[in-house]
Amino acid sequence: MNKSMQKRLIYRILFLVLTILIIPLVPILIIFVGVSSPEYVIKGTLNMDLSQTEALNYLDIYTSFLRNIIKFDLGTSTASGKSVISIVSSGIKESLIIVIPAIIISYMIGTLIGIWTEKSKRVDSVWNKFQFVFYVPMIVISYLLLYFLSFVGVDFLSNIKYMAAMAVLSVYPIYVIANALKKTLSELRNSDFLLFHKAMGFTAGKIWQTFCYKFIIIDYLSFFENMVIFMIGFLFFVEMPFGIHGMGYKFVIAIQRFDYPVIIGFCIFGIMLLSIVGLIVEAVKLRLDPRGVGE
Amino acid sequence: MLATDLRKYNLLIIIAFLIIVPLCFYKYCSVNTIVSIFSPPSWHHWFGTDIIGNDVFFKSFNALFIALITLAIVLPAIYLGGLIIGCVLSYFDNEKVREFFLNLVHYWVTLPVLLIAVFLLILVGAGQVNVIGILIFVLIPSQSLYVYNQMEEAKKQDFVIAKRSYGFSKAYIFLHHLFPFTKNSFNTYTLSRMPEILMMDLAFNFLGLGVQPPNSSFGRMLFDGLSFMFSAWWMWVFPVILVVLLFVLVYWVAKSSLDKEKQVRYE
Repeated sequence: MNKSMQKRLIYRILFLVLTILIIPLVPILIIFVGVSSPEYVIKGTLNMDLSQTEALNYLDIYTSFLRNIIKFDLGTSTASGKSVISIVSSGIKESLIIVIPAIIISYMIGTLIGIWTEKSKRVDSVWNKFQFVFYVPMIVISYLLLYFLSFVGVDFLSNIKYMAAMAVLSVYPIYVIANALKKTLSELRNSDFLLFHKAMGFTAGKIWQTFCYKFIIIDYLSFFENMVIFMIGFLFFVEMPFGIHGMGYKFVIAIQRFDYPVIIGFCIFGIMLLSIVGLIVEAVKLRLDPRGVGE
Repeated sequence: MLATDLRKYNLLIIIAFLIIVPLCFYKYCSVNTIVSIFSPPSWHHWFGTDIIGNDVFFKSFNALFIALITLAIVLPAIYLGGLIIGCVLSYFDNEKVREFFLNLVHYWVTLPVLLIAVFLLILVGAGQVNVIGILIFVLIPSQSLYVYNQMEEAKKQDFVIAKRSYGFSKAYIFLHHLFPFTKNSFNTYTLSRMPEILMMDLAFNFLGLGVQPPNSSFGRMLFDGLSFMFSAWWMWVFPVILVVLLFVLVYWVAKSSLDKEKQVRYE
């Protein structure tokens, strides 16, 4: 790995550490801003009795919360009395059942459409005309699908709800992947790089196999991070209509109940998880990218 | 060119007509009607009424108006904010400072913006004004990164190098050459963010963090409609139709801007 790659990774780690240091300021901000019953919020996030919280100063609150975050103790729900981490972890399993297959489906269908549109002009023109369909927000697709499936008599207590949610979640990523792949393929096909290697005596198949797949994998990795952010961020748009008790559903319920420790816990967990995913993706991407070699 | 412009204006007039005329006519129709709760679409209430007797037609158009206002405020704000930050980053050549800010913006762009925005909204409290402020705050970094990248690309153009060699000042080149050269792509990029802004607005309102009663929003109407999905279909079907129309309109605007930019680039 060269120097610029190392620098970029170091910066990412630095900002991740900064994020961890900034987050414990939230309970202090809550006291300042005066959200409804801040003492309950502090009690929930720090796992303390109300009598103990009164004796704390700002530094104690900050250090206690930072210590708790490092120990991955995100406090207790003010609504249910359960630990936040147990609520978050119970939601993860349900959410992963939808998110992982949705990512795989998005890549598979997006790749097929991308290749197809690049190969056939007719398909490309049809694709260009109907792209607006992918702009329809997923909440709308969820509602329509839910209504349609109920209309045809599908039992939503069965696993079909996971499949429907998975399909809805992958609609927009399919559009992004197909378009980006089409662009990459078209750029590669017309690149000097390809012409140069052809002149060197390589066959087109050999060039694709040896070099071009790397560019496509790098492209795929670039979408991966944004796709995970998109899917986890908007999970509640599919989990609420289909009644899947995943992270999104629990997040909405926490907001409805003004359960601040759980809301803060979900946000911290989401930010940490996605930052770490981003860090790994960046490291893999920089390792694979031949353009970085010898900089 | 003139024909295209006229066609565009005609379309805008038709859209305005399609919104204003039914509203005026509806106002006339719905006068002196008995307040009815949870009633299906009828002559007096075209889109029906909700659980507390609010008219879904008025609620839908109120939500559409608020969504358009949000868009009209957020778009210019992120355009200007992104332009200023991106230009400042590109203008000053202090490598260390620039590197730090660019890495910070890169990091910000890869964070889950929606979660951060929800996090901030919980702190500052619910309300559409707060939503607009937070949307501007979370969207400016990615906008400035785009502006910066475009400026850096433009700096490599031969005409910019030639102007520099003539001895023109940096500020002059930025103002008279770099900005006009990259302006079209900023416009297109900003317009292409409309679905993202609307989607986030929809999400905040779905969570109940945006518009508060007596005003209404599509997100909240859809959330309320979920409980009555099968018993009162009119509570969600009409907002869904308007949301789809809004997104298709936004797609059309973004696409025509992109086509225009492509045309200018290849001319």
